[in-house]
Amino acid sequence: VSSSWEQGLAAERDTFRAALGGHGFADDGELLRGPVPWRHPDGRQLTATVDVRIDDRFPFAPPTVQVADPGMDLELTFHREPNGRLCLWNSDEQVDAAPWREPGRFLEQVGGWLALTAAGWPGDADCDLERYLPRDERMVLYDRTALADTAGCVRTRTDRQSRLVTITTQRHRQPFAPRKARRGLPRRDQHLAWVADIGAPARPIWDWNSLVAALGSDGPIVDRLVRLGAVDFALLHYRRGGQLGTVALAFQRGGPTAAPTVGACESADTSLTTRTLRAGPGNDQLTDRSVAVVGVGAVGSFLADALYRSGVRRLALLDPERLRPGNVIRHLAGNAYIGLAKVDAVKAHLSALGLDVTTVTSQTMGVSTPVEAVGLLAGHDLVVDATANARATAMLGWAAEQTGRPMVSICLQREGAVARADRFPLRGGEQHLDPVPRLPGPPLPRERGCGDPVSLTPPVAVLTAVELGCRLALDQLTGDPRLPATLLDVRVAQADPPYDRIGLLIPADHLASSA
Amino acid sequence: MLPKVATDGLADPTLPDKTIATKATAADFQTATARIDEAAKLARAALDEPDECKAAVKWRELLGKTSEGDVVFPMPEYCNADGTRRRTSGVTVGATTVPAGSGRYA
Repeated sequence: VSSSWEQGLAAERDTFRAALGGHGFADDGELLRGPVPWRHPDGRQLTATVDVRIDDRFPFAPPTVQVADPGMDLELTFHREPNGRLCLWNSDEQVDAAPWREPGRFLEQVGGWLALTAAGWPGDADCDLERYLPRDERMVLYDRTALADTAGCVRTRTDRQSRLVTITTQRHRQPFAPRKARRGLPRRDQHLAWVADIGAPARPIWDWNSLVAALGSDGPIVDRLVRLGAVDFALLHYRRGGQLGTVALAFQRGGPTAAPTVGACESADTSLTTRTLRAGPGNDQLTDRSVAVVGVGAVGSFLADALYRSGVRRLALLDPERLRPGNVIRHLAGNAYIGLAKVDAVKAHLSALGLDVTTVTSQTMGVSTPVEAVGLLAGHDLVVDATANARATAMLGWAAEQTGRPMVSICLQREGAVARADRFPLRGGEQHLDPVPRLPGPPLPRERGCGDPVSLTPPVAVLTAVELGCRLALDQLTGDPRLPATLLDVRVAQADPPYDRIGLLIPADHLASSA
Repeated sequence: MLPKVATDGLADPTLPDKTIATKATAADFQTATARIDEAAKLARAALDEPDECKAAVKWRELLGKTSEGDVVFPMPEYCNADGTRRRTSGVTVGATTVPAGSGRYA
């Protein structure tokens, strides 16, 4: 006995099949074949014959469509899977009002697809040439910026697991067949890649012959080099409707008479532009801003990471402590860094992001004198206090007020129930929120051999504090600060107002000024 | 004691049974005594002065200048030359308040 939802899905599929029958489709229980009227750009009214399959993904994905006969002599080019299925809709189409659930609109879309194919897909900007080829499991890395002026033969580098192939910028002369054929090609002449710009291709690359054609005058050269065993890869730059695309191809030599086979690798640009594409708006304006993070324990380590990812490259990390096994569960740096100074562990972790960390400095010291505190503020665009140390915070806050330079202090209170960030100095009319009263509680545990009590703040609460601190810090670094002097997030509702509701608290002066 | 030294001279600590004679007259000694008395009063006044800047003016007056013309006792950075206190931004009450209060963790 099938459940109600299974019956509902079956009913929707059957209704759709029956409706296609009404449009003249024959149904053998598996495949529906029928006519699709469409209008050629030259005005002719044509009828194509298509095969439709409704699979188990329906209605969360459209039925699959293959063209049996377009109704004229028509080359089917773009927007097709390698198996011939048409790509009719983007994956972001809303399922709730999906056009493929209504057979009339579904057939209209197929007709429209044929008309666009006949017109050569004008203005189409989908850069997905790899979709038309069998998949090669290796990933190909290249630096688009470094390769901007490179064309022809270059060397490649493959990692130990043969999983990653890097297209280097090292040019290599085009190899020729060895005089004594049985000696084979020297190793240095093997595993090369061909880099070229193929302009705006009129059709996809489906196989060896279409690749050679797409390469134009380079085609015969690449044909020779691949058959010779010199070139294993191609990195082809192309344009589609104003968009720039790059496709990475991997070749297998065929037999003496057979053509090589072509596979498409997932390819990825390693340039700084691409690496920072997801770093948030304005991240490039933060690269020359300098921030000192005093205290890189749980909050400070994740905060340094968040600032670095947001674009701040000039980071000074200060903390006298070393990373202990008990720290790791709540700290950015992992088990491999135990025993290192926390500042060095954080820097090592940042270096794993693949960006330049030469502008990240680490000092195994805190801030102990007012002169040091003033110097730190004078030497950086922002100082972040993540010490939760009464003396250090008081001194840095005082130094910020004396120098007029910005400082943000971050902490968690009540074992992580409250996260808080305060910015100094106060601007005209501003006030910080009141202190959160400390509540009596059972004594905190202590780690054996380590003097201070261990806060029961959970790791996820640390991230809340980091988020608040980062918002204040980035607000300050943008040069147009708009946030109030305190952000306080009640994570767990407390008995005493105003902390008895979860959510963000900000000073009343800011509420009034932003009203 | 003093008149005897004035007549016989001070015992020379480098040569046994010798004295160091002085040509100072009794009037000179009286003048010197008055000056030492004046300096002692000034030193006492400086020591008893509760305000560091006013005290510093007295110490400067007492110690004068070196043979090179340098003032022996420098005024503290937070004092004006007339003994008044400069306006400074010291660590006043409230300037070191941690807004979040206590019981913090980071």
